[in-house]
Amino acid sequence: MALIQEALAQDRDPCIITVIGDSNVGKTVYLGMLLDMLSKRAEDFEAVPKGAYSVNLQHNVISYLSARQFPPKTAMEVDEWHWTYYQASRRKRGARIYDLVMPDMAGEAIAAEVAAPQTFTVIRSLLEKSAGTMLLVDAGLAGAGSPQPDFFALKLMSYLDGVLVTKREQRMGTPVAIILSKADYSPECFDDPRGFAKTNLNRLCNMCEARFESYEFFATSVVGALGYGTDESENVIPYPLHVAPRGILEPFEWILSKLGR
Amino acid sequence: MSETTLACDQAIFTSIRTPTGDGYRIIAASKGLRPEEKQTITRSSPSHDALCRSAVETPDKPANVLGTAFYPLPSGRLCVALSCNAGAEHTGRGGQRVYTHNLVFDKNDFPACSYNPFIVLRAMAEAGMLAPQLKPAPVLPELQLAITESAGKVATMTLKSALGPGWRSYVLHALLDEQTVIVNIDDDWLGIAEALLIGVPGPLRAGVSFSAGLRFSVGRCHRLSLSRDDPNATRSRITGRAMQYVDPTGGNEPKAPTSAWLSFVERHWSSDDIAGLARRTSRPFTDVGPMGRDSLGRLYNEIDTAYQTDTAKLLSVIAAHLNEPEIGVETDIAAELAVKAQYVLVGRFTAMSWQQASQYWQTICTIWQKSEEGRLLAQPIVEHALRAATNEHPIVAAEAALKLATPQAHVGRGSMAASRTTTRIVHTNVIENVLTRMADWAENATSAELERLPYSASSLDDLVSRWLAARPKCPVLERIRKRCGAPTVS
Repeated sequence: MALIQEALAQDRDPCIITVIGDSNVGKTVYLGMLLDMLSKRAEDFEAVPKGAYSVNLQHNVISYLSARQFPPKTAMEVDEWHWTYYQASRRKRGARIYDLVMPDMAGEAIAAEVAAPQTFTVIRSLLEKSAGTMLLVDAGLAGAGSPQPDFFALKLMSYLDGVLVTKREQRMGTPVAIILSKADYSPECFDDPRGFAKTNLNRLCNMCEARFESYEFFATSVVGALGYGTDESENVIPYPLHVAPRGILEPFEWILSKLGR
Repeated sequence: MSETTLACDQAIFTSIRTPTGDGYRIIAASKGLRPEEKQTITRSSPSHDALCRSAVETPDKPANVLGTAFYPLPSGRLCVALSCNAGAEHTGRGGQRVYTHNLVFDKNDFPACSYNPFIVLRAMAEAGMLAPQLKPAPVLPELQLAITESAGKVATMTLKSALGPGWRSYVLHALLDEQTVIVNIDDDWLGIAEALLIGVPGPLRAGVSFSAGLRFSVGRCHRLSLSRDDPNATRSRITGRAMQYVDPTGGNEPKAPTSAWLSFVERHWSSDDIAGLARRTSRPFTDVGPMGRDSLGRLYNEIDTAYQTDTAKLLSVIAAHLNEPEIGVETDIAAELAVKAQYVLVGRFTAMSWQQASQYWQTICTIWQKSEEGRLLAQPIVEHALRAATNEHPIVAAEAALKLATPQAHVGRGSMAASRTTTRIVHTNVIENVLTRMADWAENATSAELERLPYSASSLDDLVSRWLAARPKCPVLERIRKRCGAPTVS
């Protein structure tokens, strides 16, 4: 509510960028890290959080990573999601200011909505209003030969196609940055993200070519090194030993460049 | 409650990793579950960290907490969900995995569970559904859940420490008023939720969706949420929404709204008699609107306060019951009240002199003559009153009984119509007892005694004549007639 009121007070159309992806793909960590880098004036960007609630996500992510832990799982309940509202711009005179609204949605909720539309209507509503979309795909899993990232991304793109494109022959114009997350597991994808996608996410690539006008692949990773342990239930637990963000800003920059046109 | 079985479809919602997916979703379900039902279950089920922690729990040592939810599905069926922790979250991102077993059943089967979802929950626990199945077959069978006698038992519950009288009446009033209420409670959410729900008339409960022991979520949007959350965070979430936040852990008790139904429920709550309350409120009432509820509340209040109610009022309660039209279970409760009033009145009339009893005699006769049911209700009172009158003087009793003797056209009601023959016998016995005593007295009385009748009786001849008009063929009257020489009535 506060977010809407603040956005309205700016007298500009808010620019919603939606981060989507499967459960445990790294949406929270990526978004938290991105916002933190923007608010630390990385590259020539500047981002000002509008409201303390907007800082919660980056605060949470950075605090957990500093403690060598991944942040807790995002709950499916919509009111448990972190909603962030930042004013972002390039640091030069007369640069356009973007009112960025970026919710950190639960992967399970996205999956449920994709599997059975209208389960979480807020997701559809957000996607319909989105100026740009960031689709995270687990490069580590894809590189290891799992078909799951490819299939899930394919379903998501098909859903987006259904939601955002009204005419069958029309291709979707909203920019979609396909972010190959956890790329530190498959370092080769930093060299050629598109080539990596063609090899390991072939179904997704074909879908993009067929139905999307504006899309690009980016490789990204947040963690420099991982340690592993087990919990009391014998689950293997990864521990981020140090933070080494790589390729975080590029997808954002690309989307802004598309919006600026 | 008699033992029965409940036909249910089932769905398990939890977080596991499979080759086709990861995270929270319905991992197994019965074939009978419809797509729109699955959507609602997915939306309403608790996910990561959604089980409340009690005030005595620490993050390192989670208590064996349970959560529950009950809500209607778009198909009209009802869902009861039982949630528990099922080990550590497999992704290693902290917290416990939440496991929820959902049972979906037809609304028409709800009365068989006494309109109480907690009975279904106890039956689920008895059936072993508290043990998480993390590798179930993807298709679950339709379940015939045994609703046992022990599952049907409502536990004794002390509400006072968790939810004072003002708070609980306030919450119940809001629920009956179809408002949405979130209540901040430190512990024992399920017990308190059951006690609160029991305060709602049975037929209304299918519409009272609730969650207990689950962190509040606007997405679930149940009518009643009992949880332990940060009050400020919850208040912030519901800003601008038609929801009330009630925090008994801080602040002053609100002034409780008053109504006959609320005072009836509160009396049971304050005496920790949740089982008794459940027996009374879980009936298939016909009218559960505000007027109907108040009427029911008044009846139950009158039953419970019968010993403190004055005699005239109790008699008017019986008379009013006889005048009420017969409407479903409400008539049974009114009959219960009439029987209770009768019981209390019998006790009082046992010890009454005729001088005291005579002031109520006209009302008693009216009840007696009203119907077969009236005779059954009035009979023991009449017997005691006439005994008191006989103790005064047999002529006084005869004069009083004459008012009963006038034949009336009786209209039997329901089950009472069947006992018409019984009441005729009762009627005859009462009259004959009085007349026999009068005959005994008359046969043994001296002439002087016969001429000086007590009280208002003008003369024995006159009294016998009036009796003969009412009972022309009564052999006992013939005995008296012979003694006093009253004319025969053909």
